[in-house]
Parts: sequence; C-alpha cells; structure tokens
Amino acid sequence: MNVLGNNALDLRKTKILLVTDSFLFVDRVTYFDPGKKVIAEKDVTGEEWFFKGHFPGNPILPGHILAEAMIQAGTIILLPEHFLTKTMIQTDTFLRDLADRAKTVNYLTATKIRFFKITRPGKTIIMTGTPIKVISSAAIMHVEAHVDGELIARGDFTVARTKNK
Amino acid sequence: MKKITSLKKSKKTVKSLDKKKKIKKEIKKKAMSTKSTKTVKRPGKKKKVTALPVKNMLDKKEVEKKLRTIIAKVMEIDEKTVTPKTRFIEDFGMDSMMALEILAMIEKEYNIEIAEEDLPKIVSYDSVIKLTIDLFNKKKK
Repeated sequence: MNVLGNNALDLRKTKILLVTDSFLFVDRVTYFDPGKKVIAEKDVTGEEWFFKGHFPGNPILPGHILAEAMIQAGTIILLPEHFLTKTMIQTDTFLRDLADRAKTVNYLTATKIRFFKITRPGKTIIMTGTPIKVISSAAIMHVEAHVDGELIARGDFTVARTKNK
Repeated sequence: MKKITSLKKSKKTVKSLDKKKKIKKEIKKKAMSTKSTKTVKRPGKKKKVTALPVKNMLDKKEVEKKLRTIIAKVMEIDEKTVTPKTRFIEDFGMDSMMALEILAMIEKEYNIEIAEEDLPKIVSYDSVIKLTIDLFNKKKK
C-alpha cells in the first residue's frame, strides 16, 4: 500500500536521507510501502555538476552516478513510515527516531549492476526498489531504473547499517 | 510303470513350484530394497503407485553441489576449494556481508526463509548444508 497516496514527496524540500545538496540524486518519492517497495524519481536536467566533464559537448549521465541514485532510492525502503508521510507530527517518538536515524549510516559494501542504455539530459529516471533481505545490521536491495518505460539499469546492492559514533 | 509316470509328473510340479518360489523371492527382494513406498507391480495385477513426488524430496548431493556454487560465487573462490572441512572465516576471511549474501541466495534458491538469528550458522560448509536441509524439511511439514 502506498502510504503517500497521490502526493509525491519532494526530497529537495523534505530531508529524509543523510546525503544532501550536490550528492542527493533522488528528487522525489512517488510510491512508498514501508519495507516492501519504493518508487523514486530523478530529473536529469543537464545542469548537474558532472555533465561539464562527462563529456564536454556530449552530456551523458555517468553510470556510477546512476548507481548512486539507485542506491539512495533503494535505502528509502529501510526508513520508517512516518519519515515520509505528511501526517507526521513531531512527537517524542519521531524526534527520538530522527536522532537515531541520523546516527545510522548505510555503508555500501557490494554492488552488482548492469547498465543497458545511456541517459541524456531532459529525461526523468524512475527507480523502483524492493528488498531482497533486510536484517538489523544490513540489507540487500534490488533496484531497477527506467526511462520512458525502458529499462536502463538493474542492480542489487548490499549495505551495512551501523551507528555513527 | 505307474510309479515312473507319477514321479515324472511330480518332477514337473516340483519344478514349477520352485519357479514360482523363485519369482516370489525376487519380488520380495525388490520390494525390500526400494526405499520408497512404491508397490511392486505383479504381472496381470494393477496397483496404485504411492511414491512421493520427486519435488518434495531434497537430494543431499544436489544441495551440496548447489551450495558449493553459491559459496564460491559470493566469496569469489574456486568451487574445488570448498570442502566438508571448510570454515569460511578462518579459511577465506568471510565477513558478515558475505554471509548475508549467501543467506539471501539460499533463500531464493530453495524458497525458504532464514531468520537473522541463523546467520551465525553460516560459518562452515557442513553447517550451511544442514541449515538448508533442516529449514526446507521444516517448511514441507
């Protein structure tokens, strides 16, 4: 069940991930079923910092940036429901969870990804993430990326979840 | 003369009796040697086959082969180096992330669920085989 209903969550306005600014590669979340499925989107505008060098006069979204976007999208599955729903109220539980979450860092430990098509500016990437296995200290996620209905990349990512000291 | 004919007759009957006995013995032997509940067909008599379908039974050798492939793939080692005495941490420096990946692949392969508490059991080839078979059989019950 999509807890967001018909409302997409703009991640440029609502901070739910630890990454920010130039290293945030997910623009919004359109579907979130906690622990089960997430659909997130990234608009490839062409204004991003990496296009200057990749490549001059021939802007192509770098594969490792797409991989990072997919990992960021995938880790949203691990978040509790109230981090994304607009009905969240700053209760003691929420504040405690927020502080706790700020201490929990997902370290990427393994990736297995295939790229099928290149992506150029002017497109929106739709990333769908589902969990393969989640335990308290780690998670393996499967994420697929589509542009205009076509699969452009697919991968499995393993993250270790540790408390930041 | 009468005695001879009767002897001849009795020889024939003895022979056929022996033959029948032999056939019965062979049938019994076959029935005893097969481990399944399959009943042995007798000529002319049709009986229901009550053997378990192959899908429900986990062949240990196949499990060993498959798990060896999974372990070698995750730990990026040669399959031949995975032996019954293999201990993953001591012999190959396996970490908890690799153990989780092995766990996830086993779950997918055998359509079973391995609890987080069983993760520490993924330390040796033997323990992984035992865990997989136990969970599979538990699920089938």
